[in-house]
Amino acid sequence: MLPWPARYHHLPRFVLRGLVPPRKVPILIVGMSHTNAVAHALDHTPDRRFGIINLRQVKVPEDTAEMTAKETRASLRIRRRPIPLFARFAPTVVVSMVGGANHHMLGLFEHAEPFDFEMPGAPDVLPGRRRLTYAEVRAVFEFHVHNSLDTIALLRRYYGKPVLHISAPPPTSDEAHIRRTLAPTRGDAVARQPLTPAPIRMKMYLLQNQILREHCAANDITFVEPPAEALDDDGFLAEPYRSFDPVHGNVTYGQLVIRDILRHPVTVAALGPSANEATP
Amino acid sequence: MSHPYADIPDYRHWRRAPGAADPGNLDPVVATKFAITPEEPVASAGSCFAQHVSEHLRRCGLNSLVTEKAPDFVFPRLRQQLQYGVFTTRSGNVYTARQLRQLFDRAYGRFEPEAVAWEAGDELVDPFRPNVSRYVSESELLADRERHFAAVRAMVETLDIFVFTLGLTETWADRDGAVFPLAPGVAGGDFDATRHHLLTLGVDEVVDDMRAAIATIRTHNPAAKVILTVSPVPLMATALDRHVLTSTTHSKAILRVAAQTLADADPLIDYFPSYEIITAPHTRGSYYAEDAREVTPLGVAHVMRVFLKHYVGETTAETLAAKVAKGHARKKGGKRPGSVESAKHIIDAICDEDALRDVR
Repeated sequence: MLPWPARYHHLPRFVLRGLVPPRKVPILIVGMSHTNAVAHALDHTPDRRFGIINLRQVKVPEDTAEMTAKETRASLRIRRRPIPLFARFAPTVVVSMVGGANHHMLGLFEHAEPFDFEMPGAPDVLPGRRRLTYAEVRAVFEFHVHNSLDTIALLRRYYGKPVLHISAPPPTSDEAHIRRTLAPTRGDAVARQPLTPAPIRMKMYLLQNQILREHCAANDITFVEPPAEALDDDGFLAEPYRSFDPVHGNVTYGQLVIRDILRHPVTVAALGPSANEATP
Repeated sequence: MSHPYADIPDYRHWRRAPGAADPGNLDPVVATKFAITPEEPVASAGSCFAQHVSEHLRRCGLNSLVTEKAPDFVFPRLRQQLQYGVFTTRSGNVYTARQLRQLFDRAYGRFEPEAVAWEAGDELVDPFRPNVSRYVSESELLADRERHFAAVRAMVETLDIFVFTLGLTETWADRDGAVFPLAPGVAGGDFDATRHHLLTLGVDEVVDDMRAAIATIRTHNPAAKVILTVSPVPLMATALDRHVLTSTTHSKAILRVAAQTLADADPLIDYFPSYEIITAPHTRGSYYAEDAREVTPLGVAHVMRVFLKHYVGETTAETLAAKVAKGHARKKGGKRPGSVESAKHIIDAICDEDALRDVR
């Protein structure tokens, strides 16, 4: 992980540029919690070409009693306006792993009014549930992801370098895994909550990716699908790649993401043919 | 000297009636035929001006009936954008009396128009409410339309008072007589001169259509009361070869006469002069926005102040407003289990903790 002391956050960009010259990072990964799978993989197999900024390291006040008021204000500011942070790095290729958990937030747990919806080209809906329109579900997602979309577009506009956006891992179809991993941290009551049927959770994931794909296309960003071998026959996250929670990929998944980044034509074009060669 | 105007009350005399010098006090309502109690379900439909009426009724704490409710999944602040709660049902604007009559006929299975869906780019729209939603397939559109029809029937059968704003007399019709709120091609579909034709409804037709629509309500709900208003919003465009202003005055005159005809003949139909309040010379056009078409919030507030004063009573209206304010204060805080907010809290916590977890 790249260090970025909070005491600098309040400084304007021109001061930061003079104070701390931007650090050259061949592949700069910016994201939230999904970057942890990659970070853990790099712990196992270090590669100095990578730098990772996890924007979630900036804690919100209620989570961090130990932060001073000044640090808290600075942290919130950087999370909302990350340019002073971005100004500290000079990447060759930028990799976005921003957002990606919205389909879980909106669809992991069954709603009070169970629903289903039709995806374009996939007319099947489960019986006995309120049938929402695709337009309604999409409007909710667009509303929910707009901050992530802004941050992803900002990476391209700010750096002016090639940007890859890595899709978040798909959901798991295994309800037992979800309940098993929720119980220790979130408690039995949460783990017992009814879950949205897996086919609907998958639709929500696909819808999220569709919005991201369109956003990337409109902003000259390359959207990268999740590694094919990490998926089961139905497109869900396969068992060997699941983390200890219902949301994230594990270190093996992170290794596949690193491989896909390095093999991607955008990376190869930017870094040259040596992009594929590991440099521990 | 005695003459028929010697002892008339102030409201019958232009100079003595309040409003000319103090437009805010203009109040053209003399008496209403009935009152609205806070418990009575009030349904609303009509042209775009009716949206303001519907919103204000709700804000004022009256029982503004909504039978087509947004799914829990849709955040409250998105609901209006998706046309939930704008009117009692998700009907979109019902501009003409013919459109209202046919909406009821379609909801009760008495009329099945030939037009089912219009293409709009890669998607489909409902020809009879093209600005309400877009659909990915005909089956999705038909399922949503069935839900809408059920909501229309629920409205007809549960309302106590129906507020309808008459908006237009020009409308485009299909060859089977089905009328559309917007001309084919404007928000979907294609205009076909061999199939689509312009209708310009006259007073008798508007009266007939409204009587038929009200008859549907009364069949299921004999005690239903109706308040008619005429939208003060001018036509955006006219299909006739004349100035849009003369088409506007002609259209509004027809609607105004039709509303009065209906009200004069039925003790449970009232006319409320929102049109007059907005267009009165007293206000010197100040209730229109810069485009000389949209009604300003000040104008809407004046209309609703007069509406509440006469149908609800000033004291009751103030009590209701205080209750609404209290209700808003009470709503703050708390994450309902099973809600998006609750799920977001859980996933947020998982995402934060993931940074601390050991790897597999």
